[in-house]
Amino acid sequence: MSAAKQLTWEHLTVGERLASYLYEVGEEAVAGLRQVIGDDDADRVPAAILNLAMLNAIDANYGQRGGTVHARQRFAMHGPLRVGDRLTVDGQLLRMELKRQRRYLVIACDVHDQDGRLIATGETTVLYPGGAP
Amino acid sequence: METPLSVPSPMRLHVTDEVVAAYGRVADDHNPIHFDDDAARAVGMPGRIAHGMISGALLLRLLQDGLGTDWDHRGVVELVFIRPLPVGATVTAHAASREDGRLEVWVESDEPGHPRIIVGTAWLAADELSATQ
Repeated sequence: MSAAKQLTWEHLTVGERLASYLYEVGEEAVAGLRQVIGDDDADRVPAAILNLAMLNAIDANYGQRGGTVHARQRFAMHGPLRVGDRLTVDGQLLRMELKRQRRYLVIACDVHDQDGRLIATGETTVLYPGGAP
Repeated sequence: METPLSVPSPMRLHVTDEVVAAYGRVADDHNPIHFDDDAARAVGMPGRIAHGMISGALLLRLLQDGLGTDWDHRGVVELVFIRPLPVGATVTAHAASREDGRLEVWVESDEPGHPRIIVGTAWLAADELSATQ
């Protein structure tokens, strides 16, 4: 995992790239997520695991408190996931927004598997973890 | 316009402390606002709140169940997290067909007034590549 950047609103730059984040689709995580949402279909990986990979990538780059407060999510699937897949999440800071005295980061992510196959793309808006202006 | 999408709904989940703890382990998200009433109150919440993606994951399961392999290859969803969910509430994920062929999706809480906590839209991209557009 990459070290989180020293997070200061003024030092963030729209267009900057996030450090690549590696996420393995482990049996334990898949079983845990199935348990959370009551999904007993053992033949598939819950789609939300991709969201976890993206949020973890964002948290690894920008998080400060061990968690990210989610505001919006766009999510597009491009292929099925399998247990054991080793995913790479690449991201870019698309926008920095101020709305109703709250700061937000909008981050685009692409997720590829170990063979370079595009699995998902996403655009995630999170509350800036460094606090209000 | 494509054939209107339709998926069976609703789907319910009681978001207990155990569910929140399990999600925290899976997501490696240990933000104290999810586990400690005092920490949650310190940031303006009435008490501890569930991770937003617990409800989001339930909604994704609804779509994955209803759209099957089409979802895995070209599913797209846009979600807005509009309200925090107190731990202990029950959520219900819904999907309704729209005139434009897409699905209106939402998750509502069983709190008084049944407020919506997530709202959004889901659809299938015309082909796999266009899911990036």
